[in-house]
Amino acid sequence: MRWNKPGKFRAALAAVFPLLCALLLSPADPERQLSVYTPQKTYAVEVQDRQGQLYINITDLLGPLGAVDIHRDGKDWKLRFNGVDGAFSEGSDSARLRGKSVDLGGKTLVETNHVLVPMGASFAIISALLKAPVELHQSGRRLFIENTTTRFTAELKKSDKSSLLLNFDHPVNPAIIQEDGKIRLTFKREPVVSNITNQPWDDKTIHSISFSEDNGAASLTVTGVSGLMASLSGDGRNIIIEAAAPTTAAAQPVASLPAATPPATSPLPPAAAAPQTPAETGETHAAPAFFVMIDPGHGGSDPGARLGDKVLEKDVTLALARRLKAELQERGVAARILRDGDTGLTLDQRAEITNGQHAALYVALHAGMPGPGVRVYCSGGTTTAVASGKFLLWDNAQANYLARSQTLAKEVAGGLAKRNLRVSSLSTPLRPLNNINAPAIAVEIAPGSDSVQDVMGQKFQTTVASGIASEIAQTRSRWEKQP
Amino acid sequence: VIPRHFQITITLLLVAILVSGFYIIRLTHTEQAKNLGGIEEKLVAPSPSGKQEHIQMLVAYDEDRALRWRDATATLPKERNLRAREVLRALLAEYLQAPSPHPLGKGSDIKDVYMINNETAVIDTTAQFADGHPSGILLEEMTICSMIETLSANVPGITRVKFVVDGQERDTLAGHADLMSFYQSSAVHEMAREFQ
Repeated sequence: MRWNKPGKFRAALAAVFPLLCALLLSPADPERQLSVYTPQKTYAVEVQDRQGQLYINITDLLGPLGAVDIHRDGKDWKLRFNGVDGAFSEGSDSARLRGKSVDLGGKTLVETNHVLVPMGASFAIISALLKAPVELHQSGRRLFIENTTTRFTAELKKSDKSSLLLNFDHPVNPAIIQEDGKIRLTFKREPVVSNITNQPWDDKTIHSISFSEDNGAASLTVTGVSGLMASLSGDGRNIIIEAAAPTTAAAQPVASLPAATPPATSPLPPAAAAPQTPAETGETHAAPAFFVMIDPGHGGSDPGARLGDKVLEKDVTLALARRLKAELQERGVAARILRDGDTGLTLDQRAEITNGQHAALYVALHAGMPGPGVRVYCSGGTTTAVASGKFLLWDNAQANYLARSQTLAKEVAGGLAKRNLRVSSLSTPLRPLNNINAPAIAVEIAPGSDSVQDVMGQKFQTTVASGIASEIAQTRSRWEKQP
Repeated sequence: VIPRHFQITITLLLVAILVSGFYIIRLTHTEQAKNLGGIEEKLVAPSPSGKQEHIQMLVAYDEDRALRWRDATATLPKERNLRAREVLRALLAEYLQAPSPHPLGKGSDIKDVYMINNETAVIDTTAQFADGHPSGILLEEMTICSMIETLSANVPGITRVKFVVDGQERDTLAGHADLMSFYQSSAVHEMAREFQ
């Protein structure tokens, strides 16, 4: 029999090509990590797969906990950690720590002068070296030293529009992801633990809460009606989860809203949890009510400006956003925060979310030098809207609202000036102001070079937030009166 | 007793070792300083020949949060794109000196300016210009205004300006000022007036 070589080659190629494509297009395996929680710090150690077993570098594990010296001594690797001696042998299932043999549960590996030990041995190694209580959640890859944990209680406040109050014994700052009928809080840095894995409720608004651990992080998933929102309060110890918008307000034109309409997403005050009148409940798919979208600039891997040595813009903006939301709600103006945690969003995503939820107003918050003072910006674009068929051009979406944005910026600047702040009002090519299909402003707070810490202070933030909130509340009242 | 010629040889050898050691340490420190400073030995276009001319630069002063016009001289060629590049380089030189009224990152430079239809200029900066730019709305806006106004004042006819960084589009200058859009000179002129 004679082989048709080109034909066979093509057939082989046809078989291999989809495989290669599948390999190339398959999502990358997220980096595995072990999170270590101590009373002083939280850090992550890279976890590596070696022939089906998970390994960690002993220096990565111990380095953040103290002075580590590990070096080859003949066949052994000698360890000195905070004055305590130990020894590891390549290929051995055990190590000698403080003169005692410790079972590692797998062979010690040495790669390019790095000593790798099985991840499961981290518990025994730390216990032996620190002589402190240690707890390892192996499946979730989380290691707790000296009982460092954050626990929480979950209290469902039942009513026509129930809310779920999560109370933590330490401040938390989770990444919050909203999906349809579900909201997930991910704790990457906080040692959040729970005894429950799933708690169902017989409730129309909140259906269940579940807790899980994976890849060095803990997650709380709350399921319920569509449009669940989370808001933080109590210095980060309380999280309230409730349905997003009150539906009656949404169903009515904004102009007919009474000035004292209860906020759409009321935070903690007990009154907010009180049952609402039937008129305030209804279909959740109605048009959204008047609410302000607060956008704390930066977040996640984007720290924004560095203010001094220690203060990051992303932290200042998030704290100010929470303060502004509370101040707005005190004045009966509903507000939402675009990122209520240390989460990264692109500029386009910020505009997409704001436009998609039909925010009545958009306020971006920033912090930067030089200071001291506060600067209020609106878009530097044109007032001529350019449309392509039924659609506005993305870069020109602000055009129809520019006049209102300019007025609002001046009013907010005026309100802040009344509070003895040094204020200027400017136009700027700041993204994503041009992409927002609503009146939009940006506020940049700027500390003096000798008082950088002030921007994180409660007094300064409350002064700024109340100034902005007060002007927005007045502006809303004026807009409601306009025909 | 050690012979005298042997003593002299040993002494000379020791001196030579000390001198070379000192030289090596200095070389190492120089290289480390270069790396820490983020200096990248990238070629940018050389300054072309031309005649010395008076130019006007809108200079940013961080301390006063203001932009002010200043006269300067620069060697400007006849070609519009080269002229535009040299004008901007003169402005950046002002910011890179010490003490600077508006500090920029080391290595900030203009790689090229491309003229499209005589009215649109595309400014190509080095990566260090954006990477090393201080982050903040006001600081970034002052840089953009200062550059576009200086360009418009010295290369008449430019009505639209866009920035690219190392030949690539970039979302923002340092987290705030938009680098994706084309800037209208007239709109920037209005923005710049707010600072004067």
